[in-house]
Amino acid sequence: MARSAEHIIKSTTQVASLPTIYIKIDEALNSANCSTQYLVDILGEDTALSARLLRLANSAMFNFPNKIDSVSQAITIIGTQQLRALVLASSVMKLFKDIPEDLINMEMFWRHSIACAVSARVIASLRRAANIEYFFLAGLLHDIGRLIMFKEIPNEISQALKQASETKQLLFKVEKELLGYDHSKLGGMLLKEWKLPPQLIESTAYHHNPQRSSDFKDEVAVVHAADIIANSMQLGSSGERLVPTLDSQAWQRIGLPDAIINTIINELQKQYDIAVEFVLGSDNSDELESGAA
Amino acid sequence: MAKVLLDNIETGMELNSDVIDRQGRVLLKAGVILTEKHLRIFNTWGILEVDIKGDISQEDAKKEYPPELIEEANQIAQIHFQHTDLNHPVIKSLFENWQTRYMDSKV
Repeated sequence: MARSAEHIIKSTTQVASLPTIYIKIDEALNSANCSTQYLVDILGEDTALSARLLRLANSAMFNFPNKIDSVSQAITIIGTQQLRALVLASSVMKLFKDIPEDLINMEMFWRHSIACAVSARVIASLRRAANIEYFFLAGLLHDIGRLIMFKEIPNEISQALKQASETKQLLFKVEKELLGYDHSKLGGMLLKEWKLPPQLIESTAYHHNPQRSSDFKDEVAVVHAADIIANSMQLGSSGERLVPTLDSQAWQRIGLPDAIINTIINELQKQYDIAVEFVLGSDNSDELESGAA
Repeated sequence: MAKVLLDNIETGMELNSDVIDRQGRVLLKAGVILTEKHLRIFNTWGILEVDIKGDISQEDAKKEYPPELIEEANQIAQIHFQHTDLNHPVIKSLFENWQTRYMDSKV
């Protein structure tokens, strides 16, 4: 007997609560008078994360002429909005790091999420949207429901992967057929439990069904299109092997000319490697971890 | 006349119709010959494409690929995009982009 979505979310939240470090950073960044020193103090609880910030600030990505040796300087260089994305990404990555390789390659999973995040941010900036870093976060999180499936119901999702590949169906449809719900529903439920902002919940819950969104139709439409672009270009994979169907009404809602897709593709290709380095870090990250704590 | 994306606009091109921003305000009148200053204005106001007089091809000269390779790329792309509407202009562009990248990786 398959477990209900509610039951799965309950057992996920028991072991995977959103780390307090993200909640604290988010609260601090949302308050009007937040000092850099306060952020440094919060980040001090996680030495590995502090070390990554330093390494990042000193990386070619920021191309800063002098060596950055304090976390507060690193925050200034990286920027507070990007800091939020980095802390959230690294928190979520930690929660779901022990998923067996034969189910999903985690680097490929995060690469797909990053490609969707960059596309969403590019589309949002072309639309002159406010808070474009939220679109980046939305892209990073949109497939988090898959991670719940890999962790909680590995046999069922592995059967779904097999069936999707044999019948050339879209994976989220096979999930729905086998289980009665798909990963987008699970993801939305988890983000709701975590009390993340409603636009992140909706863009995760409805990225395959943008018409079902009620309050954040624009945001959901952007993530829907971004996911299709990321899948079509095969930058990473969250388990899906084929390009999902584009909802033409959602694309219309975005309100950009059709030909802009070529600009989006070019920007995605330009920004993708940098974003991967930003979120995943460089390959030799572990050996550097101890030095800057 | 042709709708041209901002990336492909050059100075000296002539506007075929008025350039209007998202609020419906007219920024530039039809007939204006574009200068550097105008391109900066488009950037500032978030104009993404304008209507240019004359016949402007947005496509760079297509590279020549062996016919077998084109056929191979087309067949794999058909599978990859089988759940999409290939008549939608956005999907069409993504499809063509996929094909080109596939062929470039093989030659």
